[in-house]
Amino acid sequence: MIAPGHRIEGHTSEVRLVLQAPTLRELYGQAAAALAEVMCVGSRPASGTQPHEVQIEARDAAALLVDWLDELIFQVEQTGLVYPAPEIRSASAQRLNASMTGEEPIEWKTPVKAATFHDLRVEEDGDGYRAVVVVDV
Amino acid sequence: MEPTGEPIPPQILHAKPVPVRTGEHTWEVDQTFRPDMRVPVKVFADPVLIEQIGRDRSLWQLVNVATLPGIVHAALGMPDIHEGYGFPVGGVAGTRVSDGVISPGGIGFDINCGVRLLVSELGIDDVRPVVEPMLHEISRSVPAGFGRSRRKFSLERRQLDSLLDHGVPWLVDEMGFGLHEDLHFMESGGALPGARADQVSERAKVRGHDQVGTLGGGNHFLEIQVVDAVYDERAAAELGLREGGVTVLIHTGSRGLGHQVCTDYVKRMDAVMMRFGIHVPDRQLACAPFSSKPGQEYFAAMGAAANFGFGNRQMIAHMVRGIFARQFGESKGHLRLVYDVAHNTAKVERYDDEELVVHRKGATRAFGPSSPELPAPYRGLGQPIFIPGSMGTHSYVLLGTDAARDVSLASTCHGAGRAMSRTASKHQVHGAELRRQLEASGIAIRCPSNAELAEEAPSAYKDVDRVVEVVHQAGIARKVARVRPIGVLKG
Repeated sequence: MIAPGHRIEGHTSEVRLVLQAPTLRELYGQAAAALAEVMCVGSRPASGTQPHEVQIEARDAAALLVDWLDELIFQVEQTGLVYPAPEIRSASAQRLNASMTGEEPIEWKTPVKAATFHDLRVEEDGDGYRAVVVVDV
Repeated sequence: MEPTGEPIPPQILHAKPVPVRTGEHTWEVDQTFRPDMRVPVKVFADPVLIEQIGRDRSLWQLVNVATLPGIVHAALGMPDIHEGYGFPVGGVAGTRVSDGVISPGGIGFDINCGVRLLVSELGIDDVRPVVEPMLHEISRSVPAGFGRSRRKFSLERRQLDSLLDHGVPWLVDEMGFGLHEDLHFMESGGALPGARADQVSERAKVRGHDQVGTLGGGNHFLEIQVVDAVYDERAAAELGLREGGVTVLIHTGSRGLGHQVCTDYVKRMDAVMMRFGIHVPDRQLACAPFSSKPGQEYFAAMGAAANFGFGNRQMIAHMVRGIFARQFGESKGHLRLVYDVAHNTAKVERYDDEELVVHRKGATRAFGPSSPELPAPYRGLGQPIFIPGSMGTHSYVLLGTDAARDVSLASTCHGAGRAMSRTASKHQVHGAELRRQLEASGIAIRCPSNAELAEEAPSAYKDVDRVVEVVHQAGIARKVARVRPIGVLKG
C-alpha cells in the first residue's frame, strides 16, 4: 500500500498539489494538509473553536476533490483559521463527510482563490490512490 | 453550434507546439498543428520573450483554446503570457455570439481583476517626506492579505445586490463613494451591461458582502508613485501626467465573490457541456454555448462580479482620497481618476459586422482613438492602459491604438507576466532581504509576511520594459509615460 503523503510542486503562476494515500479518506486528508501548507507556515490550536460538520457530494472523485478544497478555502476565508487536519468521517468517490476544527495560523503565506480542473486527476491502482490538483493562488 | 470531435490520442494532445516567426513581433502555431484546432495560435513577442514563453505550457494552453467552438481569427497570446489553468494568463479569444461558447476559465477566478490610476497635482517633494505615515494610514483603512483582518465595511444584502446589478454608478449616486465624474473614466462606466445579482450564488454573496474596499492578497497591491519618464508629452498632458508628479495605482479585483462565481459556473459547465456535444482538451476549459441558459446565466453572473470588482477599486480609491485630502487639503490633495481597466472579463464587441464574446484573461482592452466608447476627453487620444511591473519596478501608462482592433481583438498586455513559480522564487529570494533592498532603493513597503513578499520578487517576473516595448513596436498600444513606486502596500 502507498504511504499517505503529499508534495507541493511549482507551476509558473499557480501551485500544484500532488497527493497519495492508500484510501480515498486519507487522500482527502492529505489534500487538506497540503492546502494548509500552501496557505500558512505552521498552525496551533485556536482557543474556543468548536468542530463543525460538512458533507460534500460530486459526480466523481476528481470533482469531489475540487469541491473539498473549495470548501476548505471558503472556511478559511470565513473564519480566518486553517484546517490542516480535518477528521474525514467517511469518504467515497461521490461523497465526503468531515468534522472540521480550525487552527490558528502562525504566519500567513499564500492566499488560495480556488481549486481548478486543470490537469486534475485521481487515479487508483492496486496500492491506493494518486491525485494531482492545481490551485489558483 | 459546431460540435467538437471526439477526444484525440494523448501523444497528439500533449505534443509541444513550436511557434514560427511571422513578423517582427509575431509568432504563430499553424492550425494544422493539431486536428482539433479551429484557428491558429498567434503570439506577440520578441525572440527573448518567445524563448521564455516556450519554457512553460502557455503555448500548449493556447492551442487548447484554439479548439473552442465558435472561436474566430486566432487564439491570441500577449507578450506577458504565462501558463495558467485552462486558458493561459495573457490569452485572448473571440467566439461568435451566434454559435460560439463562453468559458468561465477564459476569464479566470479573479473576475475583473484590474487596475486604476489616479493622478494628483502633488510633486515628489510634497509626498516623499510623508510617504511612510501615509502608507501606514492606507494600510489601516484598506485591509490587505487573506484571512488576516476583518473588514471595515459591510454591505447589507439589498445593497450588495444593487452593487452587483448596477455597478459603480450605484456606489457613487446612492452611497456617496466617489465623484460623479469618476463614472466617465472607467471601462464600461463601471457597470457591465446584462449584470444580474440573481445569478450570483448565496455562497458568493456571503464571501463578498464585507470585501468591498479590500485589497486581497497574491499579486494585488496599491502604490504611491512618481512619474519618472514621459514618452509623449502631449498625450501625457492630456492624461494629467507630468514628470515628477505623484500618482496612485490600485490593482485588485472581485475578491472571494468573483472566485466563487467562477467556481460555481466551471462546475456547472463541466457537468452540462457533454449535453451540448462539447469535448474540451482541458477540463478547466469547461464551456457552454453563449446563447444557452448556462451561457447566459454565467455571463450575467460574471457581469455582476465585474461590477463588484469596479466597486472594490472605487471604494479603495475613495478611502485613499480621504487620506490624501487630510494630509494635503481637499484641493491640493485631490486625486483625479485617469481611468480604470479590467484584466479578466468577457465582453460582447462588434468586429466587421460580427458580434464576438471577447475573453480576456490577463489582458487589457486597448480601444484606439476612434472608438466611440471612450469618454469625450479621450476621443482622438485612445483608451488609457496601465501595465504594472513587478513589485518595486516601474509601471507604464500606454494608450490603445486603432491598429489593435485589426490584429489583437483590441487587446494588449496586462503586466510583466510571471517567469518563475512561487516556490522557485521563495527558494531564490529571501523576503527579509528583499524588503531591505526595496527600502534601500527608496521604496517604503507594507507587507505583513516576508514569505509572501518573496513570492512576488521582481526576479520572478519577465522584464516589463521588454514586454511594453513589444506591444509598442507591434502597434497594439503606445507608450506615454513611466511611473516608479515610492510606497507599496502589498496585498
